[in-house]
Parts: sequence; structure tokens; C-alpha cells
Amino acid sequence: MNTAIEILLVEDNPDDVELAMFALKKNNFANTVHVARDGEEALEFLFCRGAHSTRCFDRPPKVVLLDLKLPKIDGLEVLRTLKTDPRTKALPVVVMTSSKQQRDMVEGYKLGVNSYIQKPIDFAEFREIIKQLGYYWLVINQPPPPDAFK
Amino acid sequence: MNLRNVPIKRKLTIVIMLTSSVVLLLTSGAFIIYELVAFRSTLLENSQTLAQIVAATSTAALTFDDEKAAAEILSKLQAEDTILQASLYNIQNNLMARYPASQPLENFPAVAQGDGHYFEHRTLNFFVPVSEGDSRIGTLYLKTDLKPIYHRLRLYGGIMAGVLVGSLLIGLALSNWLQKRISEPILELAETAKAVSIKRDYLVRARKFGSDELGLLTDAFNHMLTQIHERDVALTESEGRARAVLNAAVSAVVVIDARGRILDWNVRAEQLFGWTRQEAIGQILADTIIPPRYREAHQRGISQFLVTGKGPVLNRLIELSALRRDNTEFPVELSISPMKTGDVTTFCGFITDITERKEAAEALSLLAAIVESSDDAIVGKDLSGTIVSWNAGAEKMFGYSAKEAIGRKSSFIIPPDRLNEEVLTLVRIQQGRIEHYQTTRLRKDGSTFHVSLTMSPIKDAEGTIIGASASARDVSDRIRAEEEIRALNTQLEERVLLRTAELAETNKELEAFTYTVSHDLRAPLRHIDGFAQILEEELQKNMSTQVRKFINRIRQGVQNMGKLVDDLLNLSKAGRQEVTREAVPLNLLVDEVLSDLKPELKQRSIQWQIGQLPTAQCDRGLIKQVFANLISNAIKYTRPREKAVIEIGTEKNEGETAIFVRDNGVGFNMQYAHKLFGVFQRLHRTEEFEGTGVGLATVQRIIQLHGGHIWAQAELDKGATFYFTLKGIERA
Repeated sequence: MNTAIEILLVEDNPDDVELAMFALKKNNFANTVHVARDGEEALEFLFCRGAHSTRCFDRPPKVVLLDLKLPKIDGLEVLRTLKTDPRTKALPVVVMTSSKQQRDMVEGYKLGVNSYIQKPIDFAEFREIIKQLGYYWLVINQPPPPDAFK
Repeated sequence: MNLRNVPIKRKLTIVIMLTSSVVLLLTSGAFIIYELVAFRSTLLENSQTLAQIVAATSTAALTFDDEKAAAEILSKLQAEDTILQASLYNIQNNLMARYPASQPLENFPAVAQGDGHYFEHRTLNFFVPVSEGDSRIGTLYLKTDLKPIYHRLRLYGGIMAGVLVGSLLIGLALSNWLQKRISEPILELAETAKAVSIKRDYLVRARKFGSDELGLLTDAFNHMLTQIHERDVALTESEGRARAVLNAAVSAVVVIDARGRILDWNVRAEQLFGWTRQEAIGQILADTIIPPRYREAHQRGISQFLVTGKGPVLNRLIELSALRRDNTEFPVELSISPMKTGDVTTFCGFITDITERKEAAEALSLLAAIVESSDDAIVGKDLSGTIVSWNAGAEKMFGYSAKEAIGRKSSFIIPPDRLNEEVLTLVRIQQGRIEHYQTTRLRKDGSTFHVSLTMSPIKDAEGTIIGASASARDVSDRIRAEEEIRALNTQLEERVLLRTAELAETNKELEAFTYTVSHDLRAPLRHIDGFAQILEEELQKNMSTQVRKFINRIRQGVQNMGKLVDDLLNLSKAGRQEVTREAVPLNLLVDEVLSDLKPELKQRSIQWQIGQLPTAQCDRGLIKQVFANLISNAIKYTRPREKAVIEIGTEKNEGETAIFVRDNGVGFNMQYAHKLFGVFQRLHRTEEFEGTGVGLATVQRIIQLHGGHIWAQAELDKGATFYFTLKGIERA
């Protein structure tokens, strides 16, 4: 991998992965995306364990796009783990979910999510959102400095 | 005039005057008669003498038949003015001469009549023979006037009348002076007697005028007065004593005579019946204090007594009703004693008001009846625990008769392990406390049962505790029932817990389900839409209009499905959600909704008429959904209107404030109004007006959650009005 991973997309549904990737590709963000297909994998990736034990902990993605309904460890649990661990606490996490459940929103914000987005059914809208998200988190936003991950 | 009623003064005067005038009249009458007789005989004598003389002197004339001489002699009678007429007749009885000659012949008797005298009216007539020697030679006639006699009589009459009047006047004066001597003491006596009888002043005394019989009478009268006064004083004293006794009596004392007339009436009677003594005395007793239904018996009783000397109510105490002045009846106790004074029988009644006694007795017998009829066992004990009373309830409950129980210590109905309890209770009773407790008791047959017991102190009139009354109720059934209820309750609680747990589980499942629906139903939709769009983009160049249209249909279907999922989620949420009430100004919600709907209104021309809405105690989010639904419906169904009018306001409906949203849209047929609020029920075709048929169902559920109701009024093509009420609407 030559290019540093800038986006971690945590999404179990292959259709969703495909559509998200399509949208990201259209905006030229696709090269820096890593897809984790469940919560466990996401955590392994971020904490450099298991299959990702060779990954360097010093280079976290600029943003994590996190689905909530995930196999093994669900999205909120992943969020809790990230936001309670000092090494990952500073990592920007954007929840992207089909769910409109208020409970999830409340819980997400309480756990310290940086943004909460409901995936619209209209794909055009979705593409617009992806475009804005990528632009914002990868271009506009100043990522946390390395010291924030200690 | 009846002499009897004439005052004694005049009576005396009349007697004196009458006596003296009778005496005077008799005396003067006798005198006048005597005078008259004497005068007549004198007159006769004188006239006869004169006639003799004239006769003697006329003898010659007759003898010689000398008429002239005869007339001469007769004319000499002129000197005697009492002689009215005179005439001479010769022997042949012919008139020879007459006097006065002036008078005509026919006035004289034509012939001489028999000798003698006779009285004519006012005259005395004589025929006297004239004789010569022994031979008669003629007759002389003389007519004498009686006037002097009458003259004298008148004179005497006048004198007599004068004397009579004079002596009567003197007599009157004399009698007036004299009668005083007699009448004055009598009058004085009479005045005194009058004073005594009218003023009842026995201290006045008659004045004594002398020592005659009247003096004696006056003395006797005065003495009598003294005696009367002494007796009167004694009588007043004794009567005063008697009255004081009567008035001091606790009972009303009433004395009546044999005709039933009230003779005496004491102070207590005045208080009891309301009639004063003055008013009562003289009244008929029956009409005063005896109720009408007893009056006849009362009269009968008196009559019977007068005949037989016996009466059914005499000399004993009887109870009956008496009448007050205000016509109210009250119970009295009465005893009547006949009293005989000489021939007169009176009845003395002693009457006591026994209202209080009677009420007390009634209350007592009522209490006794209550105690006796009670299902509870009511047992009286003295302070040592000895039973003194035992009612029917106790007999039934314990199986001992009153005879068996009274006089025994109560320990025979107390289980041995409870004896201590009874002792302690009696101690507390002596301190004046009332004890309530549940315990067990022993029946005669040896079985025990549960009782609810109330033990209270019995006090005598002075408030000293003299015993205890125990009221026991058999609560075996109740305790059994209570135990059953307790068991049932426990079961019920367990069941409720179980159900609650089940319900919680179901709820959790339901939540999980809706979560899944929310998430998993939406995901494929997104995918379909996404891939359809990608497909569209990929085929862009070679795509026929037909294919483009199909792809658009796919994408539209996805949008509809998405909306349906959202609506269904809302509906299920509305059904389960708990209402969190807070005070919300409804105008605020309307404003929020309108602001949310702004994008939809861009192409529309709508005239909004939004009235002043009240503040409601409601769930902000849910009621906002209600307004959002109703308002977006109004917007949707007015779409065909060039000028849409949507009105939001309040109306009074059966005393409740109803909020309404009114539009001038396409409306609907009221025939289908019942379908409005059903899930998936639509009154319009989807091509005309999009919609899922879930919105109004959700609205209705929210309104129901708020204790209100919703209804609609519409007409096809004229618009619709949706009304709803809420429990928490504050008065605007």
C-alpha cells in the first residue's frame, strides 16, 4: 500500500460498500479507503491487531465512516471502544446509518461521535453527502496531530 | 214608683208628708161638712122666721083681699137681698101679689103648693100658710138665694187649702230635719259597708251617732268588721302559705270544680302549659290542657265520680298526653285527688312533665333492643371480669345461654393461652381506654373461633369506671376470606410480574423489530435506488425514453416505499410511546411545521388564516406530528386550487375547545368519513394525491394518547375540516 489510508469505511453490506465506493470513486477518494466488513475487523484495523497487526499505529485514518448495524461487534460498541481508549479518542468518527432511531442518535452523541448522518434513500442525495463528507474531513478539516493519539 | 227602691231619706220624707197631709185633709173635710150643715140649718131658720113675719103682716091684706097692701108688704122684702122672689096666694089659691113686681107672672108658681120647704138649684123655696086665728086665709111663697152658703164654702175651701199648703211646707222642713237623725247613721253604715265590700278594706269603721238602736247596729257592724279583718289576715296568711307550697311544687297543680272549671293553677302549671294563672282560672280544664281525644273521658270521669264517688283515675298515677298552649302535646304523669269541702267537690290534679323521663326510657329500651338484636356478642362485665349481661348474639356465638353465663368469670369463653390478654385488657379498661383487637374465643362445644373485639369502659353517672362492655364479632369467615384474598393477591402479583416481564420482552422484541425494519427495509431501497441511478448513468447514451421512464418508475417506487416505512415507523412509535406532557403554545408548533414545509410551498399560492391557539399540556413532538400531518394534507388536497385557503383555529364543541385545520381543497364524501383514520385507508387515488394511508391513523393514535378525539367534516369539492380536542388544553 503506497497511499496512506485516509478513510476507514465500516460497512457489512456489499451493496452499500459498492454504492459508497462508487460515490467515493466519483469524487476521487476511493484510493485512500479501507473497508472493514464488521466491528471486529474495524477495531483490529484501528488497534493494529489480528490481521492488521503489521499496520503502523501511528498512521490513523483521517475519518472513520461507521455503520451501526454490524455483525460481531455493532457500531455503537465500536464507537464506545474508540472513544474510551485514549489512543483512539481523538479519531473523528462519522456514523452513517439507515436507521432513524432517536435512541441511536442520542447514544452516539453521548459516546462522542463527531457527526451523525442518516443515509437517504435517494442515491443522488447520498452521493452529494459523500462528496461533502470527503471534502470536509479530508480537505477542510485539520486532522488531530499525532500527540492526540497518545 | 216602687217605694222599695227609694232611698231611705226620701222614704222617710214621703212617710211623714203622707201622714200629715192625710190628717190635715180629714180634719178640714170634717170641719167644712160641719160648717155646711150648721149654715144650712141657720139659713132655713132665718128664712122661716122671715116667712112667719111676712105671713103675719099680710093677714089683713088677705082678709080684705087688698092686693095693693099685699104688694106693699111684699115690696118690703127689698131689704133682704137674699129673697129672690115672693108671692101671696089667697084662699082660693090665686096669685094675689108678687115680688119683684117687675118680673113677669109666668116666672112665679101659678098656684100655691103644699106647705114646707124644698131646695131647688141654688135656691130654697118655702110655701108658708097665712092664718087668721085658726083659719087659714092664704099661702106665702118665698124663694131664697143660697149664694151666701156657697160663698162661705169657697172661703172655707181657700182657708183650708192655705192651711194645708202651709202645714205641708212646715212638715217637709220638719221631716227633712228630722229624717237626718235617722237616715244619716244608716247611710253612713251603708257607705262603710260599700267601702268594705268594694275595697275589701276591713279597717274602715262606721261612725256612731248615738246610743239608740242604730248606734247598737253600728257597734255590732264595726265589731264584725274587726273580726272579719282578723280572719282575713289569718286567711291571707294561710292562703299565702298554701300558694307558696303550691308554687314550690315540682308538679303543676291544677284545681277544678265539679263542672271542670279551673279554680287554681300554680306557677309550674303556668310554665308547663303556657297559660298564666289569671288566664287559666275560670276556663274549662278540658278545653285548655286536655287533648281532644281525652275530653269526653274526662267529662265522663267527673260525672261518674259525682254519682258513685269513684273514678278510674282518682288517687293513682296515670300517664297520658297533655296539651300546651301552642297545641303541642307532651307526655305527663297525673294524679287526681277529689277534695270535699262541705257539699262542694273539687279535684286537685298534680301533673308532672315526663318528656325527658319518657325519652330516656325510650332511648334506654331502644338501646336495649339494639344490644339484644345485634348479631355481635355484647357482654357486660364488672371490673373483676364477672359477666353481668349477655345478649342474644352472645348466646348464639358462644352457645351459652344468658342464665349459664351471667355471674361467671369470663375465663370460660377464653382459650387458656389468651387468659393473660384478658387480664391486661381489664387493667387498661380501668385506665379508661378503649381496646380493639383480634383474638380467639372458645365456644361451648370447645371449638375456637376468631373474633374482632372492642372492649370499652362502662361508667356510672359520676364517671367512675364500674365495668367493661365487650363487643365481639365472629370474624372467622372474614379471616378466612382475608387469607384467600391474600393468597389470591400473591398469585395475582406473581401473575402480574410474569405478565409484565412477558410484556417487557414483547416490547423489547417489538423494538428490535422496528429497529430492524427501520434499518433493514430501508437499506435495500437505498440499494435499488443507487443501482438504478448508476444504471441510468451507465446507459445514458444508448437509453431509449422507454427505459428511462422505467428506471424513473423504479426510483419513484423506492421513494414511495421509503415514505411508507417512515410512516409505519411513526405509527408504531405513536402507539407505544409514552406521552411526555409539557405546556406548549400550539401556535409555536404550527409555526415550526410551516417553516419545515417551506420547500413544498414554493410553487403554491396559499392564503393562511391562523388564529390564536391555546397552550396545551401535551407531548411537543407528537402534537407537532399531528399539525404536520393535518397541514401537509391541507396543502396536498388544495393543490388543484389556484387560490388555496387554509385556516387553523379553535371552536367550542360541547364545552370543549376543538382545534381545527380547514381547507378549501377537494374534500371528500362524508359517506367514507369512517375510513379516514384507518391504516392504509385512502379516499383518493395515488395518481391524484400521493400518500401511504398511514398519516391520519398516526394522528388519531396520538390524539387518543392525549385523551382527546379527532373527527372531520367535509364535502366533496368544497374542502375539509379536521377537528381535534386534547385533554390538556388550557382555557384560552
